[in-house]
Amino acid sequence: MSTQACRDALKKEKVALDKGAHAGLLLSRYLQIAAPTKGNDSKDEEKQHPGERLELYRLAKKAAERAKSIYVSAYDRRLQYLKQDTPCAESFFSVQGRLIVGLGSEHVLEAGITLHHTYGVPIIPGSALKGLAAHYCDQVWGNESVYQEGSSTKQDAYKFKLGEEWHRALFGTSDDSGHIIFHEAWITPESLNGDGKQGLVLDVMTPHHGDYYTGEKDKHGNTVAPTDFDDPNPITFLSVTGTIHVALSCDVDSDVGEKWTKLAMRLLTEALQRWGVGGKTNAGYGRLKLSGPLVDVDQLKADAVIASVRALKFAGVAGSIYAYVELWRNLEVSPAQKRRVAEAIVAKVIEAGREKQSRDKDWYKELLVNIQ
Amino acid sequence: MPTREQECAQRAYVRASEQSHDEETRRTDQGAKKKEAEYQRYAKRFPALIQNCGLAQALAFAQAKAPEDYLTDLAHVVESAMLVDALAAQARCSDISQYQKLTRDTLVASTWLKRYAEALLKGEDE
Repeated sequence: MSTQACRDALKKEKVALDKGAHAGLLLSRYLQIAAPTKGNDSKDEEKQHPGERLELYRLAKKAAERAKSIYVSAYDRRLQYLKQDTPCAESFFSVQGRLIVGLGSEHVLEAGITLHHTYGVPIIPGSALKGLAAHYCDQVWGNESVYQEGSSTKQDAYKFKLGEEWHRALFGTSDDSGHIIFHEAWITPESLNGDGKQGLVLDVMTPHHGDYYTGEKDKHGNTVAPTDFDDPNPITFLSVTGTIHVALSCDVDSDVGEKWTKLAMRLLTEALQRWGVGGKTNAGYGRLKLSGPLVDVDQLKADAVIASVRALKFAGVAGSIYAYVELWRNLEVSPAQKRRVAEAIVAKVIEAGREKQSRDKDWYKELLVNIQ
Repeated sequence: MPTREQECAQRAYVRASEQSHDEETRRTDQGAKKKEAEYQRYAKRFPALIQNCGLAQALAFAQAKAPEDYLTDLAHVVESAMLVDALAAQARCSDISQYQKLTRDTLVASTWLKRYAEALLKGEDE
């Protein structure tokens, strides 16, 4: 006989489970029936959980899609917050195949998944990304025998090894924090659009040799060997597909900080593509591929202003240049990008032959100070 | 006069000790060794299971999968002489404030059992 798994107040006769909008809550509190009490020798997961487990996964999948309307606001708010955290590098990655983070966490369904606590949508914790990047940095970038052009000179490759100078700067040690901040990676709202092919999706793993994997012993005390006669044991679980937004920032607001942030993003991009993040990476899970060029939002903003400044006709410089100085003052970009815009304005003033008239003006001096 | 937490710890210590076997028994009796390892494994997992899935689901899962000894000991550590079925029934039927208190008490009990299981018992490979 199966055991009731949920509280009486949460039974499906009392609660409209099909209207749930938080996948994490459904998965962790609303399993109606657990495995039957001991004495049932069947290893077939479907017989142990008569349809309840699969039904719960389907409800959780729908719930994640239903959460999209409120999730969009949180996602946009997060992007706005990241803009204030300069320097920052952001990228979009598409999942190649499937992704599963948190598979081994303790769960009554025996296959966990990491979901956002408030919205119940899939996320990749910053700690997972940092761990992956740190390990890849040590094993690949720090390994002279697999040295590749671009990350450093071959002689300096050792500085990326664990405990060495560049590894410490990026990731820190147990005594000191690193300078790069690995933000949680959030799935894009478009990946929760309810077409059934993205977001949370049903998946299955089918171990065939359970006794061998768990080290069961036969009557003689020898480990049971895997055989061709073992029954397959299909186990359903949830995995993730879609597009993920990844962001890194640095606690040093300068040109140097920006360079290190971009380097860290390049490292993480390689690691995500080649090694993958989360569980079952040996089976091909967790590979993320850059789905567009590195999005440097600050550079895009600065480029737009610089293009306008350069397009100014000489005759219009005297009347219009101060408006661009005001625009430059209010521009919320990194210091490096702000300096580029200042350089463009000063270059335009000089090109228009107005340097002598502008030299003693406060706004011109302010620009020159920023360029130095 | 001991505190409630101390009394809980004392009950957990007694029950965990009873699951421990000496080296000679572990070497000659594979069944006893496996039983001790399995008890330790569930003792370590159970607090996290309560945190992730709530008390009612964690107990239902344990009734199906965990060693009977562990559940019997857990119920006794929560409250002296409490039975497993009574604990599970309370978890399913209580109102929310009673359920929260029961969850807190069971978390404390399972954490003490975990500590003593880690200290006094040996895993499969040890």
